[in-house]
Amino acid sequence: MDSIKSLMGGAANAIGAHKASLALTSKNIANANTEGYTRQRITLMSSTLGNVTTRRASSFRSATIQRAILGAQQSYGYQSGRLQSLQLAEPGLNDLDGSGVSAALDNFFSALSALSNDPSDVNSRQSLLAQAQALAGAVNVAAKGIESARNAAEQDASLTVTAVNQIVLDIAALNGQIDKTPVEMGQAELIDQRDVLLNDLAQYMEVNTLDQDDGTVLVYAAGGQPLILGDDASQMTLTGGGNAALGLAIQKPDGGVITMSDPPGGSLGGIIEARDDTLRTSLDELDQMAFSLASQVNTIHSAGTALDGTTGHNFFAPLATAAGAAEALSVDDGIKSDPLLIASAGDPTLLPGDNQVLKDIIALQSTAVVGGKTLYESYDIASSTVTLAMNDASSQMRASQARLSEVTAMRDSRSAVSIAEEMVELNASERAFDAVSRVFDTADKLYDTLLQMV
Amino acid sequence: MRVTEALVYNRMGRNNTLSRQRLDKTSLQLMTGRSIERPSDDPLLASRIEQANRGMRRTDRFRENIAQTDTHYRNLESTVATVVDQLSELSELAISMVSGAMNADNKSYAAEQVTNILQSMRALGNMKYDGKYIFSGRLETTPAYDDLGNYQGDAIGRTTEVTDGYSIQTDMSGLEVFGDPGAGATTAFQAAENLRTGLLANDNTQILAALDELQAAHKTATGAWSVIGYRLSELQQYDGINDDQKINYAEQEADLVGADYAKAASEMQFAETVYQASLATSSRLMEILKMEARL
Repeated sequence: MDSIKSLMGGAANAIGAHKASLALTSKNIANANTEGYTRQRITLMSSTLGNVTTRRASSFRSATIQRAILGAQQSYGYQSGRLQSLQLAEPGLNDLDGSGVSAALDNFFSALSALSNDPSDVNSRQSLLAQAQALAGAVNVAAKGIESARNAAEQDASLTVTAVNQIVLDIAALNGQIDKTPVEMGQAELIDQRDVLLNDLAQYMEVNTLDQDDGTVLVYAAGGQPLILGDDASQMTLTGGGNAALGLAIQKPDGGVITMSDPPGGSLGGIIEARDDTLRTSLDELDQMAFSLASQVNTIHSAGTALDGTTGHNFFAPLATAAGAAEALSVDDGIKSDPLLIASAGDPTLLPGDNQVLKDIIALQSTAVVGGKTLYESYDIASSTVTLAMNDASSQMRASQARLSEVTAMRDSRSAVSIAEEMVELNASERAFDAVSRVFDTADKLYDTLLQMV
Repeated sequence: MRVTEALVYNRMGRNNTLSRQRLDKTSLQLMTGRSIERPSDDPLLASRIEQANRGMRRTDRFRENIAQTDTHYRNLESTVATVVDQLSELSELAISMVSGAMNADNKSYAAEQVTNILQSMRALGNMKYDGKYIFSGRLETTPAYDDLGNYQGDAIGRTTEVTDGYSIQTDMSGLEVFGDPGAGATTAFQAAENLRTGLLANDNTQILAALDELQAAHKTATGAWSVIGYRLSELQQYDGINDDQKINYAEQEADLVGADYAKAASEMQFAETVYQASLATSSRLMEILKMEARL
């Protein structure tokens, strides 16, 4: 009887073990397409009593691959954020279709040249006025494009910080649950969910993680600032904005605030770099160009004499400083209302045919008037600052994307579910379950037989 | 390497996207005929294209300057040619009047002819084109000569740029055509006036002196005519140079911007094939995955 009892007990144990194995296999199959799911496997081993027992389920998770994914995500995110932030500025700096600042500068100097051949010709004056307005308009558009890109980048950064804060809270909450959840009660699934959130976070900013023995993870931002310690989450705030550079501050759970001095990395880092470095540099150069154009032309023009013998007229509306000059550049209202006030003569006694003032303005095109650069060179720097950065970001993004795909493939290969494998496992577990069920049935029949004998 | 569903799907998605992007890029080149659409596609190439465009715009400006100046000089040329003819006529009249056969009445009649020619010459001296006096230099709204034949225009005219770093004078002052008293010459008007005086006085000595002055004036006017001819020739020469330069810039721009159609077509065909293969492979893989699920 005892041997029948132990037979039944062993069979019951084995049924439990295979049932658990079946359950885990079916869970694997059910989650074959679940993002971030790490397959699990139950290891069966024989006990000292000769029965089969299950070892706890193990998860095919690799911390090394996970860290590599985080690194690739933040690199891709950085270039992606950078490229996206720069794209809005490019249309205003595009001269390929002949409608940009470069062509407008050429047309302005051509109109000056045409007028210099016949300074009293009204049509030529009207044409010069039109080309000057077109030049101012092209510079305005270029500047507004860059400024719009900077504003959009600031908004993106704000939205990204909001998203980061939510993710950080979610990860901290998961850490709290992971800490309280035993392995056999679904801790692995919580870790998977947390890893998915960490991937998302890494795309937004650089994060460094430290896995703990209890399954939780410590998360640090660039520069070693703590973001998540256990279930405690810090929150980030965006500082600066407008004309000031953007910055980040971390508010710790205890209320303390740390200013992040290191670039945050990820898309946030790319956005901030694009806004406060590339676009800022481009806009500053464009402002310098516009300011020098207006100042130099006005200096020459105001010393010249208009057709009515008057002097002291500005050609462009005067600009006080270089800051904002590109967006503010415009033709003087006096000239707009009366093109005859365009000064052409250097010597008032030689009116109306003297063209010295016009020739002096034309000479500006090949003179270094913008910090050792010509107007054209200055504009080229303003536009190429953006286009070169975009080209670089695009190229690096492709490389980062390839790297991300590679490490993701490594993760998918190691940790994801293969339905074919699970089907084989399912089949094996099912057969084993059937076999053990028969043993149980047989033991049960033996028991019945014995009882009848009694 | 374990092949899992996630691995297969992720790879399918990425490779389909990559081959689709490649197809899109090559088809765009064929549709637009351009090798790049935006400066960021290739900033260095975009910079070279812009340099070529600037070169074209610059040559266009020079050619416009040349055209304006050419028109002006052609007006000058026809006027100066007439002045030269008038001075020739006056010289011939003077020669014919100093022969012994001519009496006072003949000379009086000749004096009337000189008056008419002189009036016409003065009118040419104050010729206008497009509302501006053509011999006044920069003082183009002031008549070049007053009623007494004194020059009141500007001695130094304007210049215009006809190629990089080279400018040409765009006009000619009356002093260059009719003579510069400041340089010790007798003006054409004065020479004609002196001839008229000599004829009315029936004085062959005065007539001969006036003849010398007329011949000197003729030489001055002919010299001005030659200068105009030379400048027109120079303008034509620089126009040709600018035209050639523009063609060079245009060819350069076309080479840089224009897509190599044969290459783009071949690349597009390859990209299309790759994309179709990628889609077909994805389709087969998904069938296999379905089969696995039915196991």
